Amino acid sequence: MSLPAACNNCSNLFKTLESVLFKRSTALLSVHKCIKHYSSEAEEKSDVIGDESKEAKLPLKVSRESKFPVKHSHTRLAWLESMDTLEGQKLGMVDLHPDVFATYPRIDVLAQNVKWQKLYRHIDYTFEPSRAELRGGGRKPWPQKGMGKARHGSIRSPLWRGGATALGPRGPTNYFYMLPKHYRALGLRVALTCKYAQNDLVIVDSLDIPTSDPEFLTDLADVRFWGYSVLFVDDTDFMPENTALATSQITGFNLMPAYGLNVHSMLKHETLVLTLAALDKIEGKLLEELHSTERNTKFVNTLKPEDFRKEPKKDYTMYKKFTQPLEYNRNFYDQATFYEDSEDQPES
Amino acid sequence: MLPSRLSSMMSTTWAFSRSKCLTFLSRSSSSSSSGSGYGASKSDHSLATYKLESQEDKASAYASPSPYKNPGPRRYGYQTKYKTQGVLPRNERPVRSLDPYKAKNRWTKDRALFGQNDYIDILGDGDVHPADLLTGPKWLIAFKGNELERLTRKMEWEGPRLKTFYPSEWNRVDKRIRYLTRLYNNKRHKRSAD
Repeated sequence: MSLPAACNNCSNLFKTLESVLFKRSTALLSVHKCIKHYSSEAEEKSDVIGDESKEAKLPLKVSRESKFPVKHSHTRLAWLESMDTLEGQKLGMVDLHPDVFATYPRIDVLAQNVKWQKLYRHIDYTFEPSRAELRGGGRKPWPQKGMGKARHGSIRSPLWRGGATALGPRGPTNYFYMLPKHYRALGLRVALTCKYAQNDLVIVDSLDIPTSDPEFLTDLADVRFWGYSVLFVDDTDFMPENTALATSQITGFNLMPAYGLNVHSMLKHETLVLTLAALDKIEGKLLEELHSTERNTKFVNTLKPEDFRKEPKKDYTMYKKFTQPLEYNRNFYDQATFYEDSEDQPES
Repeated sequence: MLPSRLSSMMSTTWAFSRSKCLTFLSRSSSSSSSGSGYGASKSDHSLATYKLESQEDKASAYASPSPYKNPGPRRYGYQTKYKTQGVLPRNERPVRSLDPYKAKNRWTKDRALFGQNDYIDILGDGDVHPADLLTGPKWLIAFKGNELERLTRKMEWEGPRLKTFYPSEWNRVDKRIRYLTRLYNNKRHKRSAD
């Protein structure tokens, strides 16, 4: 991380983040140098950093190339921010694909998606035994006629106290179903659109923060009006240590890899923070899905009992190629006594 | 006899406390009258002991007054001890049949990350399907069916194991399958199960 350099003309603290950007620079990114924003004093101070940082002057403009450019609409813009300081630094502007970030806000699709997410995993375990499964009840409690009492055939009838429940819940019931793939992709696009339209989408260069103190992150969210719950999404599932430590101590601040993103979490959290790499990946995947010619196939459960049947473990040690001594016999092989008789004694 | 100085002090304090008491009384009476009539204190005279005004009386306000004597106040001095209008108040008595409300923690570990990886077939590399990540009974995962289908699938999957280790469970399932087969194929129009 490069050292901070103060700009006297404006109140912001500047950080030259060229090194950070170059770490993340891919083929999609091209960094342009823009207007000088440093005072002369700041330049003098920044001599410490080195020659590279002198060349990179903020604001940096970051443009992205899309595989699927459109003519029917214009690209949407979002700030590229940094999470190094509380106020942060506007590093540049990112253009967002209108098919992902400016679709029609289909709230019905959002509802369908959230309903599916809740139901497809839901298994209801409530169970009520039927009158046949309860004990007893085979004998007629009293004769049909002549007792002056109501006629009954079983003490386990639903009319009786201690009897069975008629048409009760039966066993584990699965509510599984698969929402068609294009509807799920549309749900993601609509959720991202809504987040962007409501100014709840933040794009940062990386999730790195200077300290693991959770107070820094809460203050940062407070200063930037992120609300009480923030979802941080990164390209990989290896998160920066400071961020992981800080978010683990704050309720409502959660980390998620890009492949784990979903409609429910996006709606649950107030603010969605995407890294530039995660943005590239999510947008790319969604556009691929949008433009794919693959027909949606109905989900068929191909699981068979054989897939889960436990077979006794086979001892494969004899089938291995003995190119080198076995690991658990290493002590035995390394013994000096072993090599005494053999000809291929190692020279040591 | 108390010294005059002390008595004067006492009198002033008494006057002060009396004025405070008076204000308190007036406040309490106003609050009780505005609160609820049921079980109100004796000082509360807000309930009408006279004949209630009706629509007819209002209409006859503009008519010439009756030459006859108006029937006097009815039930004079009687206070109704029950509420005559509206829903009965609970008067801060708790509802014993209901448990006190406890707000659930919406940000437990499971709830905070609920739904993660549900779109992994779209956003991931394409080799994992969300149905592969489900948990539950093996024979029920990613399967939806009526009770007969569920039970036949259960028998298909772990019938032999049930028969050897849980024979009464196997009997129960087998009996239920026999019953449901008859029900669905012959009697379903009469009674709807599931």
